[in-house]
Amino acid sequence: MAQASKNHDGGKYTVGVDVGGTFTDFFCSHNDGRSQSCKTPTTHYDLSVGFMKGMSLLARQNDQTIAAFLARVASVRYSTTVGTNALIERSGPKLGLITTAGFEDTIFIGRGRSWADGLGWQEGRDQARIQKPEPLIRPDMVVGVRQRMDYSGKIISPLRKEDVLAKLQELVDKGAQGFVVSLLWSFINPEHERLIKEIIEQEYPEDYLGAMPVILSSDISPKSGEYARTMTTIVNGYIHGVMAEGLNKLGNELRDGGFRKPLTLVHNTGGTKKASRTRAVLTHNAGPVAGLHGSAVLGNLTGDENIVFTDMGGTSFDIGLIEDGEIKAHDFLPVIDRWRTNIPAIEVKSIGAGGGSIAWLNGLMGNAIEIGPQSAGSMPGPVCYDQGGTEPTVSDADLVLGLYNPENYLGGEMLLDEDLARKAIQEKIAGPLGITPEEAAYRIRRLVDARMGQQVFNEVALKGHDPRTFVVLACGGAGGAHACGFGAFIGAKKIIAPHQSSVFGAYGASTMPIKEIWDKSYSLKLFRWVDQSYLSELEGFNNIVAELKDLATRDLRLEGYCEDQMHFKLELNMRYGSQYNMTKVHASRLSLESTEDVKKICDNFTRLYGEIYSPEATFPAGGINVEDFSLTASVASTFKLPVALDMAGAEPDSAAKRDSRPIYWSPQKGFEDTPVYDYGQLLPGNKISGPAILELPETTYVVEPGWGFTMDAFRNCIMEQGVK
Amino acid sequence: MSREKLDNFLNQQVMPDKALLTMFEPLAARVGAMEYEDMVLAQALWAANLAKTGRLLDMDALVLGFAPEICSEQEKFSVALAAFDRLVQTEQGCFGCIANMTGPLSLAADILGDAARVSDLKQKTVEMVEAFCKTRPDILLFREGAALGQAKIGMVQRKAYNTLKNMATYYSVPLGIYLENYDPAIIPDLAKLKLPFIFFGADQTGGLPPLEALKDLAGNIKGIGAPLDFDNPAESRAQARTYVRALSGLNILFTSLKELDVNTDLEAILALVSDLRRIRS
Repeated sequence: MAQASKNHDGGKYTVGVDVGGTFTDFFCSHNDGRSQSCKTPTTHYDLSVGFMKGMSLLARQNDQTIAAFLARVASVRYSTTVGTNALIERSGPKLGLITTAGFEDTIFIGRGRSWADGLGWQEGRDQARIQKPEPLIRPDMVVGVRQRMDYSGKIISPLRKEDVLAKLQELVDKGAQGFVVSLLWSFINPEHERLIKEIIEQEYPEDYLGAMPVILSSDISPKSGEYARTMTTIVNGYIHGVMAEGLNKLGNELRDGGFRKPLTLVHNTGGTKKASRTRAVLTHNAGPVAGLHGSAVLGNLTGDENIVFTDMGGTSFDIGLIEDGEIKAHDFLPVIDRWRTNIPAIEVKSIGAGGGSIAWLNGLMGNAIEIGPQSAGSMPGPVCYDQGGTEPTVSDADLVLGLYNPENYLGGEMLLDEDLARKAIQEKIAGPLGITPEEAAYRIRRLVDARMGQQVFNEVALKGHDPRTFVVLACGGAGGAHACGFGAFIGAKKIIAPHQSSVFGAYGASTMPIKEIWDKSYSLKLFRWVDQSYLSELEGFNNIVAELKDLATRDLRLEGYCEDQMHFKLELNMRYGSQYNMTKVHASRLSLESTEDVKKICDNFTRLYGEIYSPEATFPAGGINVEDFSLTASVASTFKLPVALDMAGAEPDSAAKRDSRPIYWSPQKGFEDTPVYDYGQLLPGNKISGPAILELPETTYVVEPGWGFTMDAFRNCIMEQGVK
Repeated sequence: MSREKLDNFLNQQVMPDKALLTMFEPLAARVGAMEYEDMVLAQALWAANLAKTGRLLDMDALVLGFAPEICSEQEKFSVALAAFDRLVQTEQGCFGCIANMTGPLSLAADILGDAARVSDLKQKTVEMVEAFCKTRPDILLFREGAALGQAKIGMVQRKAYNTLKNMATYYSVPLGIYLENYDPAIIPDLAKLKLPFIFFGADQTGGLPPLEALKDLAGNIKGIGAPLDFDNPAESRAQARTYVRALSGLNILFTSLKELDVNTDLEAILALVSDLRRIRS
């Protein structure tokens, strides 16, 4: 495990924070393995309000003042949505784009189908109504400079300073507040981009009021594909200022509160780093990635290697996979809002299906019940929150069915109004369909479970796996209540709802290592079919890796780590020549010493390709290329795993039993008296046959008929089908 | 001048010296050499007079909007809101800034003649609460009388406060009740409202709440306000000493049995406050 370095001298707590659409979650882990958690409503008007409130709650749970608590926090790992919100709200600056002359329309053409990027499949099919999004940089704020390089980085047409100055003035006159520079082939040779930056900084030096940020695509994303590279740089530039301001404010509040360490941000690439050394674009969708990482950690604990991670919160349902104990799937050209980028983000799919998802009748489809994608969010929230909401949601349906205890929500802090929920369901769904509110609620619940179940099935099956061999990890505030419902759709035999499931994103954040991925596009032929030879001039390969390693080492040193704490992993995006799609291959060594090393890489690629597509599909006649180098640099996490508790007997203590209540399990049987248990009073080893309700302050586990519950040695809820 | 004692109370840090929070707007008008009716029409003067009086009396918090008619009339409410916003902008560094409005049950009783019709005023009340919450008070206080204090705490009362609490939670504003004209028997049930702070004025006989009931309630919520009779400074000193002994270890502050009116003896209050500052648990 990591040793302490000069900047990392301990402290007592690590706090993970995950901002969601409805709640902000907190998980505090102690050096000795103990933990606490809490949730606060997400305060969209100023995220720092909910953030500091959560910190105060954690301090109180530890019987400390906020100042004393923060002074003992070693690390705050924060999954923030500040950047994403800025994109959605379009609150970023007015940027200008400087690109190669003749290619000014690249970002507007957008690979031909950018109008569909970021849309769900239903919207994507409604082509008559699709609107291309308003561009982040307007067409009149894009200028082309006369310059050209070829594919090898050789300069064909030099850059002229006068041309740059003229185009710069054009942008300044139109009110540019920052510049994005993205030229063709700059990922091979960044000389012209750097020259443009130099020219701008000479014209508008730092000490001038007119000084503006200049962001280069060769710095942000040195990878091939000018559209994705440019958009990645633009998105980064667009959200950078808003994020810096928001995080500075939060950092100041934390410092004023007594926190003495730098704030750490969770990245969508699966690691964490200091906020001051984070690129804004890497923070998008970091929360679900943190949850996925937590799944891998949990899987190591429980001995489950194949896990489908699910997180059902108030607004969305996230899905990710752990395969053979690892996170393997990275998003191919991930879409941020409506913009396709090329960041090496981990793949976590998201659909609009959460506890706050609104149920409505689709008149065009014969009054079929639909769920989402609209969500009631945290304000006004579901109708039963009694905050002014009028549209029935999934949570309202669950309440009407009796699954939630209106007096136990958030530990009793929030009283749910069942009458309001029933009334809304009656008015909007049951009445028009001529059914009872309970049956309408039942249909809402079954429908959302089916949607989620189908999505989970797709995710697992389309990656070539048998879903029945996967364990479902049900996280999120609403996950435990719906796990049996959607788990059945993939034939899941075992569901784990971790005891920290309602704050799993925050838990995951607290487990993540310091990590960054350094990638660069560079095309090399590793195997030539024509003479059956392997690459013999290894300098090109080794130089690229050395360059990335130098950058990574310097970066981690600035994070406060020394070289013996650093770990490096090299992955290569490879393909058969003339094919389009690439396969990611792990290289067993960072530097190549002989053609034998090259052959091993090629053999690895061939084997992996055959596993994914079939051995018949391999195409060595095309030659084997490497196109992208991806170096992951990390420092091991100091997260302490919990210790297994002693197992008690199967029969729960009588103190764990609460009053039973009537629950509507099916229209055939109507309401049936169902036992209710206090989860906090159950012990490892206890078993309960469904149907049953297990209540915690922050979530509810629903053990449906036909399922059985066991508490494992780590106090996780294990639900298995057919187990009595 | 420091708001440290109030911050300790808000953060449930039980300290030997207790915060002092009382209502004195009529007195503030007198300190500002103007009529109360004129003061509450002028937001700037309202805020300034309150702050000036708070400094004079060495108070830990300023309560604005205590008069019941403020919530019944839109214009008066708007002025109160603006005055409070100004107060927060200028004084929150030195004083706790407590916004007060008539509680939903008392408002329903006053306007509609029936506290049980509280849901008819829900939208209006929620709007007022949201408006105050946006100004970020340290506490949003609801002044309630017999409409809450002499009724059984049931679903009507719980729902009324649940809605307001949900709204205030979004803005991270704690809620409180200042209760007067109440039946002491209902004190333990007030915990069912799930509000963090409850302050007490005079009960239905004009007297103090029973100590045991206060102790019981203080163990179930985040903090209580124990009332002192400011009209009887000698008794107040004795009451304060009783409270710190009997309620030792519980999160309390001192409040007043009723609002300090325009004829309050300033010198007596100054002397009392000075003595109260020396009473510690």
